[in-house]
Amino acid sequence: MNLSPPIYSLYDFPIAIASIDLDFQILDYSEKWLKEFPASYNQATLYLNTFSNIPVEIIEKITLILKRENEKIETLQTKNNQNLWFQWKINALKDNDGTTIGAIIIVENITELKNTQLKLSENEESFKGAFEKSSIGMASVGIDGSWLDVNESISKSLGYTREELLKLTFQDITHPDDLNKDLAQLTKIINGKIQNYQIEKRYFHKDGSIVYAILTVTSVRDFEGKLSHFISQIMDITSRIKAENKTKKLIELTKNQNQSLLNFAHIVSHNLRSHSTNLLMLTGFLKDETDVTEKETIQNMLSDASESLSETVSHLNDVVQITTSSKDQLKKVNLLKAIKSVEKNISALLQEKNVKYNFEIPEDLNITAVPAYLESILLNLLTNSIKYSSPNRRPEINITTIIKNENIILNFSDNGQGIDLIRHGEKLFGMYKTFHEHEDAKGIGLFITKNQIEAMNGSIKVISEVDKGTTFILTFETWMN
Amino acid sequence: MAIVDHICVIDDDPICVFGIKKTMKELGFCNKIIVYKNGLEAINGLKKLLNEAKKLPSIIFVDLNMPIMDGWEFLDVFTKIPNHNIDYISIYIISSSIDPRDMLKAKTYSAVSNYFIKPINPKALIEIISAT
Repeated sequence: MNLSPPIYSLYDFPIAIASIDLDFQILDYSEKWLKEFPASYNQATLYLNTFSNIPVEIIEKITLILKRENEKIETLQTKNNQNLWFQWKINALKDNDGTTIGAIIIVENITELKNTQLKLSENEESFKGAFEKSSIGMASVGIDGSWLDVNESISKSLGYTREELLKLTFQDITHPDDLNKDLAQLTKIINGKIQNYQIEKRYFHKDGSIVYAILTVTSVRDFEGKLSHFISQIMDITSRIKAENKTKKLIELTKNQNQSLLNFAHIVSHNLRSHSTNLLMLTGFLKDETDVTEKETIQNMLSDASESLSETVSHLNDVVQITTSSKDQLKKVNLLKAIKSVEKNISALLQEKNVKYNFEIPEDLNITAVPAYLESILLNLLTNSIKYSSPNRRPEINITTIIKNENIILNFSDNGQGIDLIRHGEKLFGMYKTFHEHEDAKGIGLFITKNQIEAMNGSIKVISEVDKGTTFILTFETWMN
Repeated sequence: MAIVDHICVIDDDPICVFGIKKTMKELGFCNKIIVYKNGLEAINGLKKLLNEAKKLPSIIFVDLNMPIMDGWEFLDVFTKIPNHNIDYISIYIISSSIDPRDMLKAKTYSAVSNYFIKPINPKALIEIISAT
């Protein structure tokens, strides 16, 4: 067969295409075919050159078609030794009777596409790996807040399995106090004002505990620039926050202890000093005094001053005992029983002063306390209320309790003379501070009470109005087994 | 001849008052000493003197730590009494407190002439009061 320069239409086809007859002789070809499989116009070499470049497996397929055992081979991909990829399509070439008289071969160089595909899948693999195995919680989240995909880290932090999470939205497990700030930022993304945001927020773990996290949200947009979903990164900082809180508590404790030490040092220096000053002065007088009566007066004062000094030392000693040795004496104490027992001790006094009292305390309320301190505190507050009751009305004392978290708050109120807190507020619980004209007032009771209650990890506050009454608010720790 | 006619001592500690009285007597410092047991007693007593137009003390010695109304509150209330005559009274703090905070606080009161730490040293007392 004579192969003249092509005059057939295949030559101008914008693809690599060729037709062959049953003997593998080229009938026609396009310009592109020549580019992929360069050959001269010489018939013999064309055959050799062209087909020597065609992979054996394709030759085999073509052979099947030429043998009329097959009609069509769709999209077969091959790779040659130069790492070039080709995609083949082979169709039977038929005459008017439908008899196969050759084949049409279309080949496309798909190397670039292949390489891109390969890179893409490599990227996907590495992203998938990073996503799955990241120690940072990662998730893709729908615009409505539903979890589209989550990684292991999130499951671990929040306690839900992947399947459970996918049924929830982030709103479901966000701490209500943090939801609005999250949604506000999200709205900004949706409105296109920002591309991403980072906030510190709290989630609820499946077991109900709080999970602290730093959340970074980035928007993902589709080809048209429309928001498609969000990528959320959730860094679990719970252990850090817990450690921080522990440190904060410790610092607070140390600060309080330092403060009370300082106060104590001040008390010691002030109260001891006033006595030592008196002793010094009196002994000085005694030395030079010649008058016998005056000498006796001074000696009496000297013994008074020594007594006061010894009393102060014993008070200070009490306080040291309270603050140093009480932590290990903390026990379970039933509040109602403790109050009833104090009430019994002073029943004569209550009766004598015609006190109307009402104790509203649940029977099963147990606090963490040093029994002797609790008794001393209650006794002090009760006798104070009676001592400083108003002469104009029948004394009334009400004790109620509120349970708040792990604490029990005891409100102890009376209708007595009250204390002017604007004048005395700061000094109320100070040592040797008295505020009423009462011969028994020593200014030690509330000071000891405050020290005792603080030694039991509690606190005491006061509200009062002159000539209306006083309420002491005591906080105790609930007894935990 | 006494240095001043009469003085006022505001202190709740009887031993301390005894000491001041005795020291003043030995020094021949004054003819008369009025004693108040706390700030409130002093305010009431001094107001009464003012109202009755009686002679006021030239010097007030006031303690800081007292029940019912302490020295600071006395100063706050007393210096606000609207009467010119009190401007001629010299006020001295006498305290056993050597706390620097108390001394600094005393400096913020312009009405306070000086701060004495107990026990009072008679010589220092004469020197300082004569100088002011």
